[in-house]
Amino acid sequence: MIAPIPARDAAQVRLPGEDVDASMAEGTTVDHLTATYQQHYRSLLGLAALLLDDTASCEDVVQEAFIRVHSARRRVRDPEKTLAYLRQTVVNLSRSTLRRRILGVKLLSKPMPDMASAEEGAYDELERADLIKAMRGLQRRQREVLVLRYFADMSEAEVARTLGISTGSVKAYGSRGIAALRVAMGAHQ
Amino acid sequence: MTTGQPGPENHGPHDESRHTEPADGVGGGPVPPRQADDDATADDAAEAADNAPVPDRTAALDQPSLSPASSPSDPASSADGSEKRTDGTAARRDGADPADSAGPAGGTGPADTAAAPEPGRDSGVPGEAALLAAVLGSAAPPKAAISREAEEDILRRLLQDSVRDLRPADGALDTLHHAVPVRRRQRRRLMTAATTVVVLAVGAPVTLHTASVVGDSGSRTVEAGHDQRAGGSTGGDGLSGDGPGSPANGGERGAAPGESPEAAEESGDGDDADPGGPGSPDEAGSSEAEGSAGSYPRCDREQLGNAVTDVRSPDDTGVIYGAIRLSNISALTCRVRGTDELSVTAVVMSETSAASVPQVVLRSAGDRAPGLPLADEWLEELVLAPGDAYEVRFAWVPSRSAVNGGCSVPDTETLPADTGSAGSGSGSTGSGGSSPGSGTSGSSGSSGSGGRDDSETGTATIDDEPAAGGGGGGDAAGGGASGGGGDDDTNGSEGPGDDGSSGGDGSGGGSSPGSGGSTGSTGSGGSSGSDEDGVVVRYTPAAGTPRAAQVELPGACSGSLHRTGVLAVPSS
Repeated sequence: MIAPIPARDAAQVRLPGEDVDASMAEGTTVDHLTATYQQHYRSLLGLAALLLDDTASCEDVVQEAFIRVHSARRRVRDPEKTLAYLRQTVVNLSRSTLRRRILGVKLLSKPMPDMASAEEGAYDELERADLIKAMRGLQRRQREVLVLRYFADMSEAEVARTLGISTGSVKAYGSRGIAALRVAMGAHQ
Repeated sequence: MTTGQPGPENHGPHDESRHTEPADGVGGGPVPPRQADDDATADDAAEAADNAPVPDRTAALDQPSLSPASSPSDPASSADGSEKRTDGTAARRDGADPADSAGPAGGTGPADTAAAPEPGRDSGVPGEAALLAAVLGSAAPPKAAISREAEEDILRRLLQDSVRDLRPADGALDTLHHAVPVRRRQRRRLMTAATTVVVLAVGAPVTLHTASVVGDSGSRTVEAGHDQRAGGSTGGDGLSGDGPGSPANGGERGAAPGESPEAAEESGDGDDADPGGPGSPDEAGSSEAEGSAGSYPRCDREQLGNAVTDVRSPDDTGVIYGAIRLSNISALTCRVRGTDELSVTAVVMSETSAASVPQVVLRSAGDRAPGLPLADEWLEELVLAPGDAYEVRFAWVPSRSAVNGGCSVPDTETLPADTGSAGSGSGSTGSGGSSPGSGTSGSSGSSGSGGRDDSETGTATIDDEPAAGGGGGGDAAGGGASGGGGDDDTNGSEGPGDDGSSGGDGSGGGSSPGSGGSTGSTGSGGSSGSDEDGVVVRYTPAAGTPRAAQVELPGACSGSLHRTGVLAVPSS
C-alpha cells in the first residue's frame, strides 16, 4: 500500500525535462547551448550524482561535460546526438582519474560559483538515501550499467556503446548489479 | 488518522520479528514528515482527519484482515492518536493513492507487508527505502512474486526519484555561456599549435646542403645551400607566415608557433573545416593583388633554393653591389611575393670600431646606389616556372664620412682568430641582431666554425649540419608533437573525452619550437665568424624561414644597405 506511493510521485517527476521540452519547442530562438541546458542539465546532474562517489563534484562534472561538448562544434552540429555526447562525457568524467584531472585544472583556473544551500540540502539528502549508499557499494561497471540502463533509460545497445563493452556484458553487469543491490538493501534492514 | 493505519499495520510484522521495534515504530510514525513538505496534502490531511476519522478507522480495521500479522500492533495505533496530525500528512499521501497502488500492489502483495517495517525505521527517505525494501530487499524469500520487469521498473523509479531534488547551481548557465567560447578558443589554439608542431616534426629530416664560401681577393661568391631545416622556426619575423613544411599540412596554415596561433584563429573559423590551398597563408602585410598571378600557388619555402649570392668589389665610391638569387627548385610553377626580408647586421670584432647599426633602405631615385634598378622595375609578384630564378639586388653604401668602410681596423687578417673566443664573441653580437633570421639558427654554430677556417685559409666550407640550436628546435618540436598527440586522441576515439588537460601540454610544446629557434639564433651570430669587422647581409624569402642566404661584407662597418624588390632574372 505504501510502496506504490512514491512510485506515483516518481511518475510525475520522472522526466523533469519533458515540460521544458515543450516550452523549448516554442522558443526556437534560444541558442543551442541554452536549449540543451534546459533540456538535459538536470537529468545529467542526476546521472552524475548516481555515477559519482562524491556528490560534491556533480556540478563540476556536468559543467565540464557541457563545456567540452559545446566547444567542439562538430559534436553539436547534430542536436540529436548532443545528449549522447553529453552522457558519454559525464560517464567518462565520472571515472575518478579523469575527474581528478579536471578538478585539478579547475582549481587552478576559476572556482565554480558556490552552490546555494538549497542545493547542498538536496545533495545531503541524496547522500543519506539508502539506495545511493547501496549503489555506491556496487562495482563501478555494475553501477554504470544500472544507472545508464534504468536512470538514463538507455537501451542495452546504447549502454554498451557508451561504456565500450558488449551487449552481453551489459546484460551480465545489469543482472549482477540488481542482485547485488538486492542484497545490499536487504542488509540495510 | 489515516496516518495511523499504515503505521500500526506496518509495525505489526516488526513487532513479531524484531523485539526492539515497537518503540521504534511509534517513534517512527512521525518520521515520514519529509513528505509533509507538501502543503496541499497536509491541508487535505488535516481535513480528512477532522471529517472522516471513523471511516478511516474502519478502513484501518479492515486492513488487518488482509494481513493478519498487523493486528497485534493495533494498540500502537491508538497510542499514536496524539500524533494524528503529523502522521496524517504522510498517510494522506498514502491515502490518495489506493487506486493507483491497487495495480502494483497486487503483484507485490506479500512483499508489501514484509517491507512495511521500512517506513518506520528509515528516517531518511522513507518512500524510497520502503519501496526498495519491498521490491529488492524482501524479494528474497518470495522471489517469484516479483517479476524482473517489475523490479527493473521500480529500480528505474527509485533512481529517478533519488536525484529528483537536484537543481543546477545558480548561474550554471551563465558560467557555461562564458566558458564555452573560451574553451573553443583554447581548442583552436591547441589544434593550430599541434598542426604546426607536426609540420615541423615532419619537415625536420631534410637534406642539408653544404655550401662553400669562396673568398678571393676581388669578388666573393657565397653559395649557401638552401637549408631546409625546419628546426628553427621563425622568430619574431613578421614576414614569415608559412612554416617550412606547409605543403605537408594539407591546407591548414603552417604557421610559426610564436605568432600564428592567434592569427590563424582569427582567419580560420571551424576547428575542423579549414579550407585553403597550400598557399593559403595570407599575411596582413602583403598588399598585392591576389588576382593577377593568383592562378599559381605561392612558393613555399621548400620550393625555393639554390641560393646564389654575388658580391662585387667596391666601386670607386666605395659602394658594394650584390645580388641574391633564388630558384624555384620544385617541379611546380609558383609565385613569389615581394615581402621578403633582407637584413643587415654589423659584426664588430674590435672594440675600437664604431658599432653603428646599419640600416636597410629601399633603393630610391637620387640615392647613392645608382647601380640598382628603381622601384618601377620591382615586381610585387613573380611567377616562377620550375628552374626559374628571381633575385634581389642590394648595395652597401658606406657613410660619407667613413674611411675604410667605417671600420677602424680595416684589415684584421692578422688578428689571432682564437676559435673559442671569436665564436662566443660573435655569438653575442649575432644574438643582438638576430631578428632577421632566427630560424636558420641551425647553421649557426657550424658556420661559426666556417668562419674560423676562413681566418686561416680564406676559403671556408659552411657546413650546414644542424648545430645545437637546430637540435634544440627539433627537440622542442618533438615535445610539442606529443602534446598534439594527446589532443588528437581526444578527437578521435574517445569522443567527448579528455581534451582539457592535454591543452597545457600542447601549448607548451607549441611555444617551445620558437624558443628553440631563438636559441639557435644566438649561435647564428657565430656564422658571421669572419675575423674582421664587417656586416652580414641575410636574406629570407617571403615564403619564410629558413633563411636562404647570407653575405658577408668585410670591411664595411658604417653605412646603409640599399635594396631592391624582387626582380626577374632573365633565364639563361
